Parts: sequence; structure tokens; C-alpha cells
Amino acid sequence: MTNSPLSALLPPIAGFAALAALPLVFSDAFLVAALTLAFLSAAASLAWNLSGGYAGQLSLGHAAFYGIGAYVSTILFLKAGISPLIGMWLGAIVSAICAVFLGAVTMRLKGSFFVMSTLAFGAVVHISAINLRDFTGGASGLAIPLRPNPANLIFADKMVYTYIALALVIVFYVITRLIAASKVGYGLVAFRENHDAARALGIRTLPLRIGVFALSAGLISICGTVHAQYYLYVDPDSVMGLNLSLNFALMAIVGGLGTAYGPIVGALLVSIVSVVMQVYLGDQISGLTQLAYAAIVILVLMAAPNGLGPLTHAFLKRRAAWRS
Amino acid sequence: MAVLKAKDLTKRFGGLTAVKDVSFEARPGEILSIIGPNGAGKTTVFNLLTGFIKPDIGSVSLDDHDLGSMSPESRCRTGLARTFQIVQPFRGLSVLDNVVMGAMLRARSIDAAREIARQVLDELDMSALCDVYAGQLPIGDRKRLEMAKVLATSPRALLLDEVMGGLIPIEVKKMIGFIRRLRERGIALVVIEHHMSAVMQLSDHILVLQNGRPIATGTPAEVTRDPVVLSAYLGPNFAAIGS
Repeated sequence: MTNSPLSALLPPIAGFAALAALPLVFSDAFLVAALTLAFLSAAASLAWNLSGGYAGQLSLGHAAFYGIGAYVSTILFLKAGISPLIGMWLGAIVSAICAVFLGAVTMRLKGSFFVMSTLAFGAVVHISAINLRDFTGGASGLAIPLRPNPANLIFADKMVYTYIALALVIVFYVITRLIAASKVGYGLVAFRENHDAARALGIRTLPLRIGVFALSAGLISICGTVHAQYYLYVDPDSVMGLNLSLNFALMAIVGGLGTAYGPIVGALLVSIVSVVMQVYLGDQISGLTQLAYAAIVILVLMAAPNGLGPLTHAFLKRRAAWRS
Repeated sequence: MAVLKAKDLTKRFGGLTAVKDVSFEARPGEILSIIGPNGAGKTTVFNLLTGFIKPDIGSVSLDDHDLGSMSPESRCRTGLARTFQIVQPFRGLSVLDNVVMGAMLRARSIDAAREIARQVLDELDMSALCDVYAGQLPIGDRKRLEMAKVLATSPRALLLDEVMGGLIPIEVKKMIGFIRRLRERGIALVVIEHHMSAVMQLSDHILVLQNGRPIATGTPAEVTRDPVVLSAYLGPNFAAIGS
């Protein structure tokens, strides 16, 4: 195997080209919708993975940031006519600021205590969104009128969103790769692997962890805005529910925590499984879909405890080594 | 000119006084060994020096600069580094990446850190192990990796906590040679070691602890003749025969 930059860039470029071709091959509206959601989830899971995967800070509250992104841009658009193209950055800033405060308080907590605190944060934001009816429309949510205009990030052709979501995946992937190869990324991994050893080597992990938590919150917030524009509708359960937080984490875990490609692999797999389950089991006994889904996830994680991404990677590497 | 100074270090854990009134100086290009029976408080002294534990009384200074309530990471940045008795590798990472974690401190980029890391690994005869996962190393190599990680931070004062424990004789010999080279570089070394022949070969000064208290200090020759030390190590009867 050579280490030239070109040969290192080739697999991801080929991978993204294949993903870009998917909506053209499977142009059925149902499948395009499933793909859009898969790409959007992949982008969100990539954002989650920066903090959850690289620093090993398992957050189960990221849906709050996703929701903040969806609500901030939507409220600004509906009440002040500000384009979501601007609103998504404001949402990202609000999320990042929340993350800095949350991180400064909770990142001194260890392991499961941190997880619990993010869970609580997610619940508080979710409940607030339900109760602040004047702003958020409460449980019935907010609808965005369908007036197609690229300047407002509203398109009649739903496939545009598929490619917007894919663009987010690519950008977040590149950000992940850049961070992973930097001193910041190394510092996060040092913290994840052994906190005392990191301290003894002079690595100040707290500012790094808070910074990356804020970046992760900001990026996932942008996914939330795209979600709102795609469905033209936001309500607390669909953009802030606990199941979303669990999904972001699950996709990264299934695909491979702390790898750049893991969340993409995981998101695609989880999405395919859930679509297939819906199609074939949807009308049967209620709850069977979720049960089968859970069973598959457990099987995958038993077969590949580090996630599918690293498993495939190791397999390909072995084959390449065997050939050369 | 002393580089690392400890003054009157005292630490109590509840009713147990783990360390009491420990003072010493470690000078550049000299090796100070801290010896004593198990539970004497040697590792606690290291924890106090590096800020992993705060002393109840006493102070630590590096180049007359009081380290006060500095965190372990800040102390490492000022040039005071340590190894752990129970080695603390980043198990899931390669040997090279482990050392890069230390080298990052003085390097601008990861590439530069990798360069430093390779040099350090080369000095420790570990170049062949670069791509091996730290979790897969046998204990001897883990001890050397522990050294490589901290050396990559370019410390001025280095605390080595039983880096020879678990090594086979030939490895001990190599390690002694290596620690001597560090001394020649002008690093102030403080060494905790149970391997007595190594201690005698290496040390310029020895500090003996028992139950957290300093009971003797001096050159290796002075300390080995000290009846208090013989009594602590071998029991009072043997000390009487020796004197």
C-alpha cells in the first residue's frame, strides 16, 4: 500500500460519487425520501461523532441541538422573514453557546454521570419546546408555507434536499478528517483512551472537549435547519425526541465510533434496515418492526464490537496486503 | 542550582499519614533515588510533586518557581514529567501514536510531533514496534513505552516510578544505560526503584523513606552503611550484625 495523498483520497471520493449516484438509480419518491433522511442522519451522526466518538463523551442530548437548529431558523423565518440560510448559522451559534455552558458544567463529570446530564439537558429542552407555545407552537408545532425559493432554502423538487444533505455529509466528513489529523483530535483521543496519562503528558483536554462539543452542537444544529426546510414542519417530537439522540449515537456506534466513515456506514445501514422492516413488517403485529430492528443492531454489534466500518476496513486492508 | 525542590511535603489520608516532612532537591544531571519498603509513600511523593494529589503542607518548586496549585498538565508543560508505576499506555493506539501524544507538547503540528516521536523511539530501540498496538505489548516494552511518552515532552525534571519492575536482566542493563544518558543530557532525575543493584549503580543521592518519613539520605555508600536503613530493610537483628 502506498501512502501518497492521492491514493488516500481515492476511496472517499469514490464512495461519495457512489452515494451521489444513488438517488438517480433509485428515483422512486419513497426511496429518495428514505435516502434524504439517511444522508441527513449520516451528517448528524458525523457531527455527534466528533464529540461522542473521538472524545468518547457519549451524549444522549444532541437532539436538543438538532431541535434548536430547526426551531431557531424556522421561528426567525416565520416571525421576522429571515432566510433559513442565515437562520441556520444563528441556530448553530445558539446551539454552540448552549453546548459551551452545558460542557463547562458537565464535562468535569465522569462516564455515566456525563451521559445522564446530557439526557437531562435533552429532556429539558424538549419540554421547554412543548411549553413555550407562543414561540414554538407547542406540541402542534410550526408549519412553513410551501413557497419555493432557493433564497429561503425551499424547493419544490425534494431531490434537491437529498443533495443538500449529501453535501453536509461530505463537508462534515472533511471537517472530521481534518480534526482527527490535528493536535486537537489527538488530544481528544488521548482523553478518551486514558485521562490520567493525557494529563501527565501535558494535554489540557477540558478546553478541547468543550470546544469540540460546541462545534458538534453547531454542526448538528445545521442538520436541524435542513430537516425543518425539508419537511416544512417542525414539532418537538420529530426534531427533539430522545429517539433522535439515540439514533445519532447508534449510527456512529454501529458504523464505528471515532472514525470518519463510521457514522456514514452506520447511518446507511440503519436506514436500510429500518426501510426494509417498514416495507415488509410494517402491517404485521405492531412493534415487530422495532423488535426486528433492535435484534439486527444487537447482532451487528456482537459480530463487530468496533462497528462495521473498522471491520470492513480491516478486511479490505488484509485483502490488499495479501495481493501485493 | 537545583531544578526541582520539594519542601516539607506532608499528606494525610484520613488517619493515615502517607508522607511526612519530605524535603529534597533534584539537580540537573544528577540522579536522586527514593527507596523504601512497600507502602513507604514513594509513589505518593510523586503524586504530590506532579499535582495529581495536593499536599496538606509543603511546596514544590521548579527552578525556584513555585508550582503551587498547578494542575498535572500545567506542571508537565513547565518541564516536570513522570512515568506511572502501573503503566498507562493508550491501549487502542499504536506505539508511535502513543509517543506522538507526548511529543505534541513541544511540536507545532502532528507531522513535527511524529518526527520527534520517531527519534525518541529510535533512542529506546523501539523503532520496530511503531505500528504495534500498545495494548499488545509485553510488560518490558510497555515500561519502555512509558518512558518514551514522557521523554517526548522534553522534560527538564523527570520522575521515573519503577521503570525496571518486571524487566528481565538484559533489559535492566539497557535501561540503566539509557537513564545514564538522560543524566548526561542534564535532566534532573528522581527515580523510585526496587531493583537495588540498579539503584546503587545509578544514584548520585539516595533518600530512604519508611512509613512516609525520611529516615536517611546520602550517597549510595553512606546509605547502605546506615544502621537505621539496614534495620528498616532487614530487621533490627540483622542491622546489629552489620554494624
